[in-house]
Amino acid sequence: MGKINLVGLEVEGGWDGSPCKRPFATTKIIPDHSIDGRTLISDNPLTCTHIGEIVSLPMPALRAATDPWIDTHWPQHANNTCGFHIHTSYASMKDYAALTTKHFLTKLVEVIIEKGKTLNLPTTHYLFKRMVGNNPFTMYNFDASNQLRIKQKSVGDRLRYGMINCSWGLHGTIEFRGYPTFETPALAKEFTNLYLDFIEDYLEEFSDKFAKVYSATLYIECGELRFTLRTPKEVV
Amino acid sequence: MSEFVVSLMQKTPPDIEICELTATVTDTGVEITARSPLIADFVASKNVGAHKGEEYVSNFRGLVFYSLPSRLGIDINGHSIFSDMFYNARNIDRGDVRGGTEPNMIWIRTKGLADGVKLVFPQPAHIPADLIEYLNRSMEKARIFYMKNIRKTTIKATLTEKING
Repeated sequence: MGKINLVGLEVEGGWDGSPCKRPFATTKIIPDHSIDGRTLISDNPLTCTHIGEIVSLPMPALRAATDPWIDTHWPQHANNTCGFHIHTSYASMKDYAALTTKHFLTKLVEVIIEKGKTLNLPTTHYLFKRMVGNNPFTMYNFDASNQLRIKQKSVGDRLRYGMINCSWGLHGTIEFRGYPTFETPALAKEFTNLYLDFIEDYLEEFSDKFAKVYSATLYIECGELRFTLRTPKEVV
Repeated sequence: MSEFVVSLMQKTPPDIEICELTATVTDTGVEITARSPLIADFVASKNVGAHKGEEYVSNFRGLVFYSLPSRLGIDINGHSIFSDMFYNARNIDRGDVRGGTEPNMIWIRTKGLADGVKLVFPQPAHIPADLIEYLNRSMEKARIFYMKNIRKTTIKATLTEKING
């Protein structure tokens, strides 16, 4: 049993088909302003029948659950504006908190870039562009503290557009927004499993280290009031 | 001179610890512990009356709790976490005073303060920013609390006892 409780997938892109018929009987395509070409200039405008985002139901963090969903729902069309987001929930708040650290994101980005190189993805691949962290919908710099308290999505609120979105108040999840909509479902599965495996390994190694005691003492020294603050060594 | 003042004066700096606060993230949320043997001793000493003593203890608790970053104190599902916390605090108090007299009540409460009052907030925190911010803020409030209440009263009590011999 892993530390991840459930997984949810969201993918943006375009699907072929008849305008009068939904591509999927049970999954609705939701309009998405981030890929309509107005907020972010697209390098290859989507001209297919159905454009937007589809969202999975929560599922177990198992390859046997995520792989079939990706195979079935992956869009045929995508461009630089389209993203693939992964939500994960946790039974332990200690585990959740460990993933709010910049340390986690830094390590994750390293692993993803390394994987991209191993797979010989071209340097111009959307993945590498997103990993730079300056895409306005998936920024490397984000305010985890304030993300935690968001309870409602609102237009114009850019707080949640971090590469990591600590969507505790909204969904009780950590959302990773760094992936592009990969050109094939095979790549999407490869990187989904990489991400989920990385989380398990990361929590195994760092969850307890970050959750150590932080303390402060107020005392009198030489007639003066002073205080000390102690944080775990692992915190950078 | 009261025992409290004597013990305070006999201690050599930096031995006088006013209070210690700890924060840690657990499987169930953010756990905060506040401990202040000094304030506990002070309240239990003869320098303050029962009513004033209670006020000091509750003020100290208040500063510890209110120093939490607002994101840890905000309500969950429309239910105020502060309400929960004070409800729990009141329950602790009720448990403490059951069958006890007023001085006992203060003694038991201050014993809690001396050993450490613990509360768990059922939310994750952003590590380390939220915890450091909390500790910095609460230390500043504890400093003001000490200057405003304890030190002032201690000096006054010392002078009174000196005058009275």
